[in-house]
Amino acid sequence: MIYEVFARKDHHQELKHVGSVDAADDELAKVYAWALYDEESWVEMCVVPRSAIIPVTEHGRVPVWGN
Amino acid sequence: MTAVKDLTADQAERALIEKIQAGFTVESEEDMTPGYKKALLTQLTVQGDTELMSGPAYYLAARDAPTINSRIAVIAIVHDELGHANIAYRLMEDLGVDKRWLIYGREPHEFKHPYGFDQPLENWAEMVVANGFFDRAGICLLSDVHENTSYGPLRRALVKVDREEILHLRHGESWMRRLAKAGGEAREALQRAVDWMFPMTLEWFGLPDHLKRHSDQLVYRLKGKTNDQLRQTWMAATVPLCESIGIKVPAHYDAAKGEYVIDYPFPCQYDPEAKRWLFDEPITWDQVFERWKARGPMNQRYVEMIQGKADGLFGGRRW
Amino acid sequence: MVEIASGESLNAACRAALKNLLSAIADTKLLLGYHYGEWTFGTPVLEASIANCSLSQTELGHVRLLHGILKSHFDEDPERLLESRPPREMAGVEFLDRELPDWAAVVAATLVVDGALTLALHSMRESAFLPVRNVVDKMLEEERYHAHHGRGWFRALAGRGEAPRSTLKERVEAALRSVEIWWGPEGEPEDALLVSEGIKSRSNSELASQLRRDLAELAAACGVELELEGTAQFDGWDPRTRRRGDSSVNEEILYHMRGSKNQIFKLT
Repeated sequence: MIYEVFARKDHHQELKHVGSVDAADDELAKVYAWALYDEESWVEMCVVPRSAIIPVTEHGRVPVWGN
Repeated sequence: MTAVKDLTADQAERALIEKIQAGFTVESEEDMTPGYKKALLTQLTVQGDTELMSGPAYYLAARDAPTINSRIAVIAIVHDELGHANIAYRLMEDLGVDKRWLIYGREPHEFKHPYGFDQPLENWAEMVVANGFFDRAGICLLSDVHENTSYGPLRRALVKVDREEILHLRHGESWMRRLAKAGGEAREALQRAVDWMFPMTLEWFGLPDHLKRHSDQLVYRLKGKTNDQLRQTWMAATVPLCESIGIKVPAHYDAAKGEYVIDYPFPCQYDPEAKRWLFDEPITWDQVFERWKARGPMNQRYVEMIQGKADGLFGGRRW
Repeated sequence: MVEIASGESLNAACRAALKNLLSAIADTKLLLGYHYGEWTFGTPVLEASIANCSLSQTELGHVRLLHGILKSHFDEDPERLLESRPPREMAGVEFLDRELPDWAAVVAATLVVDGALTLALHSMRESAFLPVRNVVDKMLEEERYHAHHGRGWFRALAGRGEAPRSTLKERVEAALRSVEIWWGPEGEPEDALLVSEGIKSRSNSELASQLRRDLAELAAACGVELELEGTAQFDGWDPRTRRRGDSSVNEEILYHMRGSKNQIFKLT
């Protein structure tokens, strides 16, 4: 299953999309997100199953995540 | 080359190329033409495979790291490289390519990494020169892609990649300075490593421009610089570095021409067992491609490391 | 609450006991760092490789941290610990003495061996010995992901049919038997002293029960029956090596970890 990864650098910054991971379950998705996107010491990081994301804008297939 | 003619002959291709020239960013598969998608997938395959194959090459060297600090530093580099490979493969997966096949399904010779990552890194000097030269080549190529690519998801992904590659490069260069300064055996090992790794990286950038004027990747603005321009960028960083630490390289800056010049018949024969370039045996680029295609001494081993017992109980082909 | 700021302020017996414990944790982490490094390759999915590579770095980082404490407070020389100690004096968990044979063994090492160390560290969160207490939370924060990885893969392998499940069971039980020896006998004097002096909050036998409970709960949720009851024999058990008999870590692993091949590059 694909999970989108979001994180913020500090409390003044917005949560931003930093990448995506393939994982068998939520627990492994957490480790993979932590291990893969370690370029910052994030104050917050979370993962969301891609299937749970509901597009709001209507044109095309945007958002196309893919990092 | 012929590809360009074919592309512009097709109306949809021509329309996309014109849109891209005018600054259009491709975001989804629906924005792509078959030609664009093919060129992008080729680029991502080379990018992912290069990062992936540097993993085992660097790890086998890190395993014998001289100190715990240097071990941690290079294991961190391996970690970054595999993460970068994963990013390229994830982008491909979103375009319908089977990621498991990419990693566990291909034969060793089917990976598209450069010949440099088919070579063993047999001591710490070779490890750090790989960081200094190979990762520098990686940055030259990727920062050009980062600045120019028309593919939005790749441009965003490369922010992290570029930043981490710069750290690898600094690791390599600061160790090269240390080894040069240490003198004795360490310095001799450094010179020996540079002797085979410098020409190896020059070759990595591929066909000179007079033999290859156009590429799909330039037409679709998947990159911005030509092979020769990238080779010059690489030499502009590595030649002064080596000169500043008294390490000899077979290239120099020609002030009259305003560019770096290679001091041996390029390309030439290489003896991978002896890790020696035979400057008195010039060859054609077709012969270079043959050598690359035959793959180098560590290709099988590195791919086996990555794939493991892929058909076994816990194998990647079954997972 | 008593607070002890330096090694010199510990009484001699307590100091010796704590030095043994910290060395044993560092030795085990060194081997975990090695194995996670080796298993940066050949995993079932690339993400697991990348995770192991992270785990290797954090374990080696912890070794460096613990060696720093051993140097500052226990007159130990990190270089001696790493490079010139005979293998017979090292106190790693025996399960890690050899190459791990398969992915199930790696999962067992993560879940059981790494998990045991995390429990040992956890018991020092409120330690009277400040140099340790000050670094434990940072280490535990990183260990959370090790635990996720171990648990996640236990679940994944348990759900993959009979053959992977039975190999997993075998490896986890072997890792646990090895860890039981490493914890030591119930009421072991050095451990009892560390608890009574407030260095640790719980004895190793309590930690061992906790580990068995955690494993039992996870296994039950995944439909795996684990043989958890210890049958460990402790006669001749040595608190310095945390084992009995004369087994020791494979010389080839030490050859790599000591950087033997790259002697000329050990610049000062």
